[in-house]
Amino acid sequence: MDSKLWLAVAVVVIIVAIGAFLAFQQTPPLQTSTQQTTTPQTATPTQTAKKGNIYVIYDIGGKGDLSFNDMAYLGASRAAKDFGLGLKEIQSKTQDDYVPNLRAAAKSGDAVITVAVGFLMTDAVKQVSQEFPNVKFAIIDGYIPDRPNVMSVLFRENEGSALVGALAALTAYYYNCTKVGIVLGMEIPVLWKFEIGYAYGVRWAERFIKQKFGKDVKFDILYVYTGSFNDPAKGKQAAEVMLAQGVCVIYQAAGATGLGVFEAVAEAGKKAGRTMGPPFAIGVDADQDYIKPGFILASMMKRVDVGVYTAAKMAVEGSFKGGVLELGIKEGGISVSTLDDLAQFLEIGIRAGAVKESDAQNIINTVKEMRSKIPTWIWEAVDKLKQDIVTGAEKVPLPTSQDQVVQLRKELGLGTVG
Amino acid sequence: MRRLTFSLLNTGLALFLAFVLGAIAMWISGYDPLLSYKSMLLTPLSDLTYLFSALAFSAPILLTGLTFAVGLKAGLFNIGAEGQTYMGALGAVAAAYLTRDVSALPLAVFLGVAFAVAWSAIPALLKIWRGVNEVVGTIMMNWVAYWLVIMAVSTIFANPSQPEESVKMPEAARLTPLVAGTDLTLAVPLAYLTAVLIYVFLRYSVWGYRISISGQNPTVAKAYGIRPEQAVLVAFGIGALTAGLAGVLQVAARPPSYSLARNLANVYGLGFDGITAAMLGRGHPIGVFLASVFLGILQEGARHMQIEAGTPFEFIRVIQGLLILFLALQMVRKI
Repeated sequence: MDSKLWLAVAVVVIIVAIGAFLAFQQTPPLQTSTQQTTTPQTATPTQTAKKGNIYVIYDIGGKGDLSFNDMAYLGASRAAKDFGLGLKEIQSKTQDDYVPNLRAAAKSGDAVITVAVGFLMTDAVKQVSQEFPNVKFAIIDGYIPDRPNVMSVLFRENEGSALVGALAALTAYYYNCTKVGIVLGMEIPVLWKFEIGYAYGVRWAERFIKQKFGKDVKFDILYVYTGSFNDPAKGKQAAEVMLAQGVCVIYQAAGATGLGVFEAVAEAGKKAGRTMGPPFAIGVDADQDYIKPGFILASMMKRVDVGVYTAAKMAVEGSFKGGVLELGIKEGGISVSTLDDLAQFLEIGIRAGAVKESDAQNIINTVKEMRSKIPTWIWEAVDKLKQDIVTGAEKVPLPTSQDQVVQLRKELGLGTVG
Repeated sequence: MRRLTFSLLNTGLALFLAFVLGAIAMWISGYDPLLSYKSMLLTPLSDLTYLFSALAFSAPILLTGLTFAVGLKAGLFNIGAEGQTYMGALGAVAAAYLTRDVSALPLAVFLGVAFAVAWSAIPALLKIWRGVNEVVGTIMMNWVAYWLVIMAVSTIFANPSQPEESVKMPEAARLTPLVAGTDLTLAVPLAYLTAVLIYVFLRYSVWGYRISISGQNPTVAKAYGIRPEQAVLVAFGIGALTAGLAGVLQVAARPPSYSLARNLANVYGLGFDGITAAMLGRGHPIGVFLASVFLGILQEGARHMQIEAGTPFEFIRVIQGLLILFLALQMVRKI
């Protein structure tokens, strides 16, 4: 009945298959590069021979975001290499996959540690950690303080935000500008850490300027919650409003919404006939300096890789215990991006196909040039604040309730865009 | 009998081709197809926890598959299950918001099904009154539902302590796992029972007869004194019933969250998986049941394939995509 049709389909299929195969044969570099980015099948037998595995469970976002999840992978693969463990990754297709994914890892019996990447898996980790009390779990960004077998890896983003706040204010001062801003995502408690930390850094910079130059400068700090993490258009609009009011450095803590901030800043700079800021933007979580090279001063890096690595290390060394593991500047969990970080992230970007290999050197040169235009005393000042935070001489406030935030906003003089 | 053999043969051929092409894709990308297929198809059957998980995945797919299958019987290409599932879930969330005790469960079923049926009535009436093609109508309604539900979950029904999701089903109103430590809830037998009821309805009820006659030939239906428009309306309504139920169960009977994710991550795509199930099951309720179990096994198998063979789960999507392609080819051929 359908035999002719099927014959035709089969022929097409075979031709396509042979064609694809030949195409891959002709370009061996392509094949090796795909094998590098993914876990090659040849690695599996050797993995099982090792003394255990690190299981990494991604949420529905998953790998390839050039940020959070890719950093988790980076940390896990480094830990696997250093401690002679295998690495098993499980991506979730839907939210309903979280529990079965965690269960499958726990049931395997060879999990040294099971790392859930992202706070979306909090409920799932709570449930599965109870079902398997002898399996060690770690969750990045999720808060589960009361399980003996769950380590909640949290970051002190307020410290890093203070550093970029100081950087923003000092850079603005250098360019004779007294307005800085921050664009945020949804108003959830985590983001208060970014907002308040940033403002604290700006006020610290005022004290620093007073001390160094004897000048009284008062910065206006504008903040806006866009209400979304995945709307670049909204981020762009928010940034444009700020730029129109004379803001010259904008920090973004808004996920993909923040990409619009970069867009707006770079556009404004180019309109003014510049290839580099001011105005400047500041990136978040990953090293985002390469997205608009020359217009992104630096990024407040949340080292998810360090978090995953530390959790795995503690599990291997036997020092793993349930509760909260807080990583700040001192522990290397928070930092301001450097040129070395940039090179590493460009590599991830190239592997994921987001950055062309031929552009990489150009980007590095541009960022290098931009950084050299910022006087060294500014970088040194940021470094000083960093040291002070590490030694405990400076304590960046950590708001945990709505009342505290309202109070801190008043104290630090944050203003809405109006 | 001859027809059944033929359609089984065709489905088998489509499955075979999809898996062969999937294997080639895996092999080219440097993964082991044999180990991948073994872990994907056999590991889920090797352990009760995994098997129950596969069945839990099959339940909503079966329900949305029935939506499409009933539509097909009436000669409709009803792809509105996706949006109707969102509306069903929204109904459940609204119930959870309104009452905080066990009464939230019946209310959830009522509101969820009511929302879904109301949602399906719009493209159905547009089709009957204005002749708007149901494909266009339902796609539009899917998108309207998508944004509407996201808006509702982000505002009135938002969970203040967990911003990424809606208010949770009250604990008393949750359908918790029947076997501890697995995902098997009452949703699974409920979905299967629904399939049986739909089968009986289509095969033995007067309305079932009217639907299939109008689906096969509206002119003949008219000659018999059947009004095809009414059959269309009923088919849409029944379809919305099952799709809405799928949405309700995703909220009320799916551990651990018992809520609707703000990005709809726990209902998104179910309607389209249902279309695959309906096509694979040749539009027959029992066929759809078998197909949904198969798709459930694939979804459960995806994680074991990643663990045992290191093969990324995207290959499951490749295979499903190919399967739809080959099945669609057969359907186009028939029309």
